[in-house]
Amino acid sequence: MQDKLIQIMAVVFEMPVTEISDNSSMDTVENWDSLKHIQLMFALESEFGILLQADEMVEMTNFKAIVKTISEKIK
Amino acid sequence: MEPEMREKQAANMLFPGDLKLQKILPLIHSMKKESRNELSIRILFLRNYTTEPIIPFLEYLCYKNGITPLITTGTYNGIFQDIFAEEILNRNIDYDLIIVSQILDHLNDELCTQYISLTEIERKKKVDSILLNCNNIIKELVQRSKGTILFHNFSSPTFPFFGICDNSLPCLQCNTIRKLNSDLIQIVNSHSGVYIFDIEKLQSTIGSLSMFDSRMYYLYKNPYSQTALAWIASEYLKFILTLKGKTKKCLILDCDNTLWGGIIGEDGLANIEIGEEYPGIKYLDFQKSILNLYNKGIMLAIASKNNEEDVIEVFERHPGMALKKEHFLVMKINWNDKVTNIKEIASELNIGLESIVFIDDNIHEISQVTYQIPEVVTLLAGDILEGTFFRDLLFISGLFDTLTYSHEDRERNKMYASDIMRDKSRTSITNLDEYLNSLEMEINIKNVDELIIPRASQLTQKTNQFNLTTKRYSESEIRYFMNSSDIIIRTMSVSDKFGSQGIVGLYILKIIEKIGIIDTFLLSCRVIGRAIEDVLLWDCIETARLNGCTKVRGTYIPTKKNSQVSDFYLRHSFHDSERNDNANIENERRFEFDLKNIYPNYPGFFKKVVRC
Repeated sequence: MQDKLIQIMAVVFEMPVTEISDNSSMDTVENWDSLKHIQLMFALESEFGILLQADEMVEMTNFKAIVKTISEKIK
Repeated sequence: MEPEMREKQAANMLFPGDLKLQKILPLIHSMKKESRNELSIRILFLRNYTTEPIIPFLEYLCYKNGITPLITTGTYNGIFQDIFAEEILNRNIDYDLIIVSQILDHLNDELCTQYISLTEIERKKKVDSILLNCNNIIKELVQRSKGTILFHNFSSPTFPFFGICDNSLPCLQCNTIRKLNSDLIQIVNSHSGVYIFDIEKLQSTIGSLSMFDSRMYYLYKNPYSQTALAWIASEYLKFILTLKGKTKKCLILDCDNTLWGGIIGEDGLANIEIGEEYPGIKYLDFQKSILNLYNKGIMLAIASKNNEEDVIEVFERHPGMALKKEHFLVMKINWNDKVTNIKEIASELNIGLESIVFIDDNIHEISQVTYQIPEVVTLLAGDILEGTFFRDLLFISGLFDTLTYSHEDRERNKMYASDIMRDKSRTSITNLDEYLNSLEMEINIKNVDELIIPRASQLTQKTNQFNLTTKRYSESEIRYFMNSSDIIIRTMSVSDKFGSQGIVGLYILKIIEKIGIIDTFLLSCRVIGRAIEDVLLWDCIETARLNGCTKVRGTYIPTKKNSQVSDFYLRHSFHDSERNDNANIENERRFEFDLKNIYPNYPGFFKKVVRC
């Protein structure tokens, strides 16, 4: 799951996969603005076949939080 | 059904609902890098909500269709600001397409969220002010830009507050939106080059529940779901393809299991499925939808592997058939491969392969055609999804869509049929001049007026072969030329003893410092080879002379399709002129005619030439 997530983030933020880490967040990734966040949310939903609540979308602004939310949903 | 299956089913056609961001984003990046598209389109979004999420879908679809999109997005909720600000809309940068996209919630929140609380007078006032706002936007844009304007109408509430009594009065919630949208149509139609983007129709096509996404709306002020964004972009694409002259002109059909169920050569006339009962009705419905295309001016042809007499018998004798032999311009019923037949049809109809759509139930035939002649759009006969109508296949992608529908379109297939009679009579007369004389052609050349604008724009967009510069112009641009004192734009219509061909030729002459510059010179492929171009060019020269020109300059810009006119000007008394070093188009050639010289008259076999 994490691999897929990294790939999606790399594509959305237009950066190499190697630059994405556990510590990536809206504060550290330059391209991660609210417009990219919309894209990321849409992409995650269709890739993992999940539905996110608005509250979750607001929270998912760093790598760890995203991993946590998705793993709860796909388990 | 899996998306992959669907793609295979629909051959090289896309189903918008299958477009997903994580799939298309990497493709956009690589297409951007590799793109060597000849065509590009400048798009400006003027909006009052977050329209940015549409962009990746739109970019993907444009690249996929060989068009490089250059997209600018205006200020959030700042349409008038953008219109009046020099940096967005100034005369130097013009946009091909301006999309004005507004949601009602941001134009008037109360009308959407507090409908019942408002009095009838308040509602009316609010609606009137919205209409005034739309009218002002359009008026200002038309004055400031030559681009085509696509104006969103408004979606209706998913669940109106009045519930089941919402229709009890004409002034309640849903009807108010309907009325607003129909008033908007009137405003839009009073301008040319402005079109409605029917978001309300799209809402009913995909359904309100899959259209809207409250999370995205509350958090980011974008009301649409990912599915809706893909559909909206696909609808935009239909306009873009039309503006870029990429509409299809001809539908080539297979017969067995496409026009009827079963195989005529094996099942026989009595056993094929076509008629009012299932399963025949499925094919009958499909045939009827094709008749609509016929009446819209789309050319029809058959490419079928069969014994010719078997298929002809179905058309002539089967009572269940809606399509008759006379609806088809060419029938290739033989055992040759489909690629050969399609190429022959294209050459007989004098059209390019890129204007053809081919439909067949056999995946092998489809892949062979897609592989060998990728310019042809291929469709695999059958339902797009279980339960959709067979006919949707022809209409979902807007392959045959046009921005307008004119008298010419309706009569087009009759004109094509008379073209074929003309060709037959040609074979019986051996001498070309004698043949042309026998046609009793009458020609009428006049300045473009309001009524002709749509057809003039259509000609620039659809003509590929006899087109010296292949410049595509929107209706707004044509109107701009028409109203400019130093630009003359004239069209030519032709009729003969077999019937009228309508408006088939056009030129645009720009007069700059006593030099007449032929910006555009074109002739519909239907009338090539009858010396009609001689009359049109003669008129152009005489018009330049009348307007005080001393020289006329013509340009030839080569494309893949217009090589037949490469020496057009040389054959018509023009001489090669020095190429301007600043010319930015490679291989562009310039020619000149000095008006001190006498220009030869056109040939004598026209019965009548009227110029006004």
